[in-house]
Amino acid sequence: MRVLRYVLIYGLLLTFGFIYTVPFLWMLSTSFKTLSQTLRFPPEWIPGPWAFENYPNGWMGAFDFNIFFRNSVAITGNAVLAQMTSSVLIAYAFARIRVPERGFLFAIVLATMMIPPQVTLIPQYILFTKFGWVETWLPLMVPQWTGWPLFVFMLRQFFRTLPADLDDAARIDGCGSFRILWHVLLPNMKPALATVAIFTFVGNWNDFLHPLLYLSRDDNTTLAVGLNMFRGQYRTQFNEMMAVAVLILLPVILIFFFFQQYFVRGIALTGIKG
Amino acid sequence: MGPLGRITRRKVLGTGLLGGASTLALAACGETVVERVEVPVEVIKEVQVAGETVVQEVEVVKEVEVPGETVVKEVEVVKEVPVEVVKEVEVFVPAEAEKVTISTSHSWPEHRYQEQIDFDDLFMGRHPNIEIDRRNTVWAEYWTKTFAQAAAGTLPDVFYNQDTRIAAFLSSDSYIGLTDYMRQMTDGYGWENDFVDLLKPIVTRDGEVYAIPYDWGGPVLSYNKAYFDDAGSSYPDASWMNTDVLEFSKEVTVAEDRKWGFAYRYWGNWGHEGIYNRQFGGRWISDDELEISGVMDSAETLASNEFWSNFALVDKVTPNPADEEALGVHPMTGGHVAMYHAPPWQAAGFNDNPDLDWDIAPSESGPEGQFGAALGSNYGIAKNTEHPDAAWQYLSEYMSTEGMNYMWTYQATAICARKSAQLGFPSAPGQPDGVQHWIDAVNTYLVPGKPLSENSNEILRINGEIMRDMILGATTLQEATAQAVEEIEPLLVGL
Amino acid sequence: MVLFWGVPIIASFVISFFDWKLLSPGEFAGVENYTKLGTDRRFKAALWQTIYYTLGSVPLNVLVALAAAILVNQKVRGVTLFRTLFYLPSVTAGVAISILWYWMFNPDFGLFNWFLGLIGVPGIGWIWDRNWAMPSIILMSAWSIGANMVIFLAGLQGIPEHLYDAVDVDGATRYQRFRHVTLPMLSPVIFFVSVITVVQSFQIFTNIYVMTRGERGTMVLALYLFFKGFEDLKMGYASAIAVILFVITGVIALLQFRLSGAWVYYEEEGGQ
Repeated sequence: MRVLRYVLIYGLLLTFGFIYTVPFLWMLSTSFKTLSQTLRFPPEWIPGPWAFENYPNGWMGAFDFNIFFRNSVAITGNAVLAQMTSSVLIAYAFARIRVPERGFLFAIVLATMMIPPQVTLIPQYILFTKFGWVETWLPLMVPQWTGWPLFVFMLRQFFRTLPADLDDAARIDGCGSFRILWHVLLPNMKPALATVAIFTFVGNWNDFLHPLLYLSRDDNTTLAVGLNMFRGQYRTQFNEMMAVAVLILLPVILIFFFFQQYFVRGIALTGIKG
Repeated sequence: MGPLGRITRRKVLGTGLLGGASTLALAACGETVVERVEVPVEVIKEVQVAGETVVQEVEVVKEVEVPGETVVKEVEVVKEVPVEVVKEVEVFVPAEAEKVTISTSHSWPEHRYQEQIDFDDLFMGRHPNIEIDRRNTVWAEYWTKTFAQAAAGTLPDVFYNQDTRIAAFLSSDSYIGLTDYMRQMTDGYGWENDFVDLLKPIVTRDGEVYAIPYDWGGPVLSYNKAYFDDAGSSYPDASWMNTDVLEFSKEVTVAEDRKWGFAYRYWGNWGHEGIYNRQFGGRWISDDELEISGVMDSAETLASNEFWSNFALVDKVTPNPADEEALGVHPMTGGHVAMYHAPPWQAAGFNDNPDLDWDIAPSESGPEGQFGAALGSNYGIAKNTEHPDAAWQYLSEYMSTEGMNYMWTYQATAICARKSAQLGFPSAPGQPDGVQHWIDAVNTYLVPGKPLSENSNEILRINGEIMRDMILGATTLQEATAQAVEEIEPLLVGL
Repeated sequence: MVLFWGVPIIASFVISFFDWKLLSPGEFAGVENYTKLGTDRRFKAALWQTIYYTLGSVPLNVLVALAAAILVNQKVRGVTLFRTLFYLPSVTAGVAISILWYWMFNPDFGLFNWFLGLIGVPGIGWIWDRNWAMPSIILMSAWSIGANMVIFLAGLQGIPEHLYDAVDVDGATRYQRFRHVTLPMLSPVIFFVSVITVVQSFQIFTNIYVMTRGERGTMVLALYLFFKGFEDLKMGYASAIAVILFVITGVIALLQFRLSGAWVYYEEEGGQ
């Protein structure tokens, strides 16, 4: 029975794992092909000859991806730090602090999620133009400190899965709101925080539309924008493009792995209830 | 204000060997050795313009097979640029003027960007008090970005635009007029004599010129020699009729092997009328772009659309849109089609495939003669610029004969809008033997692509969708035409 | 937040009442943009197709993500690797991968029809057939479950072990554990995922833009307003579409909140 269960689990993991990995394998395979091999049809999965030079050629071609990498690290690093602070505080306020019109304010936060980004693009662009922020990182950095509606909503939902007794117990011990958050609630929300960190990282690392609009110099823009420079109107060097795409994806995979360690059950709620 | 002075006998453009050959040796089972070696740069040709040498070229050796031995030497294409061009520069910004920065915006793909960097560096070398703040946005997103900038009133000082898009910018007053600047230059900047006349109305409103066109060209019949050699047929020539294209296509199509006779890429877009309708005397909208009813559904246009759509629907000698997208490569580049109407700017893409032996021929004729469509692009100066003189300094050198040569002609990517900058085009590296057919076409049988009005984008998107539905077999030609006429009619605002 | 989000949103609301062109705000047009929407059949089609996409993709996406989360929540060796693998398609989307999809969806020599052929089913036109294009796009969305899977996983991980211990003492079966512990404890997260997936599906853009550009019955509202605003330069009209989209999403989200009381269980309110 136990063996059967393992067979079943691994069977499912392997089957679906493979199906979900196909796009990545495709990227990997293309990144090692010569340009002429990428032109063949039906596509070949095994590169031959192996064009390892796509990696250095793509990374250090007409554009210096070291600079884009540095820029992406700065912009994404700020975003992760900002969201972990601001979204947590705002969500905490919505979940636990009794303020008048809380429901109404929360509805407004949710409403901002429901406007498609394509619409606010131009008004936002004009706003930042008036601030003189275009061609700087500010339009990508400052708004991160005001929280992200999606994360506020998500964290609020997670706060609400934590029993109110936790707060009450701490409050009896004389903790203020901030200390309750820091010492009691956050340690119980590691998976949710890791989720916010991962999403913020991935969202900003891969964000294309905003850096596209606000940054366009060879020295201030990001990896996602740089990657697209391989796309010509009539001709795309897919092999070098994929090589750079794989390199850009590596940090995402690493971050995912790294933050995954917080996805470990066994949170010590046992002492409080039972 | 006229030009403030002249820099004479100065190097306008420098020299540079832009592509280097890499060395890579691979041994395959001891049988054949493919080796890439560095080729010495040798001058084999010189092109003279007005008594001056403007280009030197290297011999491009693609493959050297040594008989009797098992060594195949493969040599990378080495791209050479002009050596030294001597030209007077007319100066609008005094050398002692305060340093200014002008922003420029382009849409270069990665493999064409180096020339832009080099041009700007050379420009800043000539004008130490003008700093170029260069921005580049990939083509697919260039318009999103440029519209946002236009809306915010922050267009770059000098920016790229295209024939089918510029009308909307002109009608919203996005440019400064350039006529005054041109008048102050030697020979009026060549506007009257050197620029292709057909392009002038596109960038002109009420006699004032708002942007400088740089290229002009369109698709003519290209062919993959292998299909003709295998079939034992002679290559297409000026005597070919559209029925010959169809007959040969039927002969060579083997869809299961992903080999078709012909590919069309201009179905429903700017080239549709010039390439498919005109041969039969048809139009899809009137030349003033005010009428579509009675034009698109005229007998001639319906006949031409039926003839060409039968390639896909009846004879199945062309990859349909589903096949084209799935190939993941241009069907011509991938060797999947025998014939295709190819514009000059796609030659570099074809050359990506070393196994493709291709050339171009004069386009085929229909009952009413030989036709095709052409399109161009341009650069202008934004209304919101704070440094019009410096912007013109840049634009005038960028759009000079030498600038066009450097950026397009010698890269073999475009037939330039200046006749003087077309001279080096045939001898640029990578050109097919029949390169002259491209130039002959723009000078004789190509007509401007359509539409050019400010609603062009919307019209082309709607027409494209309707025409694709038809070619996929979802609607009949009559249904598609009726729908297109009905939906496009309210969008016609004229030129 | 008000400045960076509120101002642009209010601005787009105001713009929807103008005949707003490229450079200039143009004339005040009153409700003209809205009355035009009433006779715009492409808008009506886009509205219906957006609902079609939502009805198809949301249940599929939420269920597959939940199933995947439960699967990668099993305590077996190497499961962290599989978490990453399931997450990968969410971060490898875009133009580069579209070629692979075009190949798989090709009616004549694509992978999907080849597979259908193996099991004796005649091939279909996928994204190239007006009737199958939207189902194909919905099917594609099942690959992008990574984000929802991670949220579910975080939710599953947050369920205290002692609750399971408590029902195990009563000799609960696997199904009973799931039904009486996992589901109620996870309900706030399921609720959250459902709401945001609905909101996001109303804004579906990238996959359709890349694969079909809204042709063959796949035009959706977000794409339609993008074309109107950024290609046709009719920003007033595009903003009016956005306002409609906003109202619809808002009403549906409100309904979800209203109905949530019946099935969502909040620990903070002292359920036990």
